Order: sequence, then C-alpha cells, then structure tokens
Amino acid sequence: MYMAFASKEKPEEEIERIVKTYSNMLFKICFVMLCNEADAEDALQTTILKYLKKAPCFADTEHEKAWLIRVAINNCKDIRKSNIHYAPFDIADIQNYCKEEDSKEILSALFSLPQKYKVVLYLFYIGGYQTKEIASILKITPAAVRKRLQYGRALLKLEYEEA
Amino acid sequence: MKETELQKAVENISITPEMQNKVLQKALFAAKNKVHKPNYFHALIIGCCVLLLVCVAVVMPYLKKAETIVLSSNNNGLENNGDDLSASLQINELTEVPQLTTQLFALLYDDFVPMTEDELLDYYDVTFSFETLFPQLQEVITVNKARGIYKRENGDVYFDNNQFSFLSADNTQEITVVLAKEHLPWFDINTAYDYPLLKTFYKDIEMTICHYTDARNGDDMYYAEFIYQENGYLVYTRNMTKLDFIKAVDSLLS
Repeated sequence: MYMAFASKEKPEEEIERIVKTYSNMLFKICFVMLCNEADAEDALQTTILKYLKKAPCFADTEHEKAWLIRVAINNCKDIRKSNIHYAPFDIADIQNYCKEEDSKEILSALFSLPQKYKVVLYLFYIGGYQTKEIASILKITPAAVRKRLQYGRALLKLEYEEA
Repeated sequence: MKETELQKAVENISITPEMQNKVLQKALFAAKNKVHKPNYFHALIIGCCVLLLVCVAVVMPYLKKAETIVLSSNNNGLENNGDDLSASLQINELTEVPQLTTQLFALLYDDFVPMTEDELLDYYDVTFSFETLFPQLQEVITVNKARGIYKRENGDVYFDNNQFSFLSADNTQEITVVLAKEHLPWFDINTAYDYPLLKTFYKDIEMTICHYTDARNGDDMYYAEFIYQENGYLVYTRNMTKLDFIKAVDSLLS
C-alpha cells in the first residue's frame, strides 16, 4: 500500500514532494474556481495544511491526487461561502497569466461560469478524469456530472461567443 | 471552441516559484510545530471512542425515550411491525409555534429568473410522489406567486427557495416542501427556534424533526429539515399522522 505520511520518508521531504508535485495543478483548480490569485493561494495553502494535519494514507498516487483535488475544491467552496459579497473576477488577474487574446477570452468565459460547472469542465477537459472518477471526487452521481458537463459546455460556448 | 484551445488557455495559469516557495515554507513551519503522537496513542484514542460509542448505544435507549418507528421498505409504505428497515427517530416536541421567517436578503428584481413547475423540478432534480402516496392531496400552484431563482450577472444563484404545496380538497391536510440548492432554505428551524434541537438520523441522513400543535388553529404539525443530494429540504405536514409524515419524508429520499 502507498502510504503517504506513514512512509519512511521524512515529513519535510514528503511536504516538499507534495508541494512540488501538486501545487501547480491545485493552484490552477483554485484559480479557476475562485478567479482570484490571492484566494487561490489561500485555498492551496489550506489544502496543504489539511494534508499535513490529516496525514492520510493512500492506495496510490492517483488516490492521493484525487484526495488533494477534493480538499482543494471544498476549500474553494468554503472561501466562496465565507464571502457572500464575492466580487466578480478581475480581468487584470487573467492578463497576468495570458498574453494571447484567444486564450484570454476562453479563460474569461470559463471564469464567468458558476462554480459547479467550472469544476466539472476543468476535471473532465483539463484533469482528464472520466465522469465516474469526477463523481467520486465530487461525491455526486455520474448522471449529475454528465448533466453539469452538458450545461457547462453550453454555457461556456454561450459566454465565449458573447465575449 | 475546441477542447485543445481550452486546455491551452488553462495551461497559461501556473503557480509562480515565489508563491510555491511561500506555500512550502508555511507548510514546513506548520510541520515543525506539529506534535507527532505515537501510533499507540491513536489506537488508545480509537479504543476509547469505540468504548464510548458502545456505552452510548447500550445506555441511551434507557435514558432517553427515543421514539422508535419500524418501517418497511415496501413501497406501499410503513408498517408498525415490519423488520426490513428500522429507525429510531428523535422527534423534538415543541411547545411554541416556530416563526419561520426568511432571513434578511436583498433580492433584486432584475436578478429574478422565473421558472415553471417543470423547470423547477429539473433545477432541483427532484420528483414528488405525494399525489400517488396520498390520493386525497393535490399540488396547489399559487398563480400569483412567481417561483424561480435569483441569479447575479455572473451566473451565481444567491436565492433559490421555492415551495411545493400539496393540499386536500377541504384544505385540512397539507404537505409542503421548501427546497434550496446546496444548503437549507434560508429559513430553518434551527435558526428560528431559541432552544437547542436534537438531531436524528434517518437512512443515514441527519435531520431535525419536530412536532407541535399550531396554537392559532389547533393543527397538528410535523416538520423535518435536512440536506439530501445537494438540496436543502424543509418538509412539513398538517393534520397528517406521524407515519404519513415519515412516509412523505421517505418518499423524498427514494
């Protein structure tokens, strides 16, 4: 069995491995969900700290990755809930990351979507997960994932065309 | 828009080395300050918890008069002596009529998206079978009261309480369900009632169940609130038996 924290590795090396392996992927998810660099950093930090606190054992690296994604998504939801008057995303945040106009428009359209569609689209198209795996990560039914993908695609297309 | 374009666009987002380093340093600092307990300590804690749970399971039935209702998984409803499925439900007996008022919300008219019955059922992804279970009840849709959701320009839904009422022809019996997505509707008994209410589990779902008499008209009321499959539910029945009330709740969880 793949044991993350219970392994013989020193905790410091383990933390470094987790941060180096997953921080970029988790930051992307958090940034797409929260549309804000500072909040995404907070969500990422909280995810790593939860990993430290819980010190979970995983069957394999895929299990580990899925756990981190789920925790990161939950953290993003918590951040959104704690801020009722959440400001819409700032285009300047996107400009820091994108130089090409096309990519900017796509990101802008993606960021405009409600969270539940964004996360499913992200996991499916960027994360490369299957609907069943997404259902397991988000703890919803595969039918709900398919429905959200369908609506999300339609909304994304609409937003992109409007942009 | 193609899948590759989306992937390419998202690929642009990446964590800066400074931010990654900052996250790492904070994590290392947190790890250094964390006290690692030896494994046998964890085993001891788990042992104590198991012992405590066993004690609670054995002693509690004697201490509390938890109402036990034996349910049958048969679709036709609930029986008093079935043994397929059973549940101990803790029902809060209220002495006052709870005042369920909507929490203060700034609902902007421009944000309102009206929805038809079918659109609402699709939005919540639910169906109701009350009219089959209780033939005397019919759904009543108040034409004057528009139903729908309040959505900001960025697509975020900030208020989506909607009510579904089923009434008998003589208006003496009623089942009403209020729904909201991903949280309890914005008026729930735990916030409205001044006293702590006991929670209970039915089919592994945590819920608050109450029983009270409406002092204004003497109606016998049962009330439940819970979250199930991403929807927050408030369910109340008027002048219906306890078994019928549970049957109604049960039908929502099927």
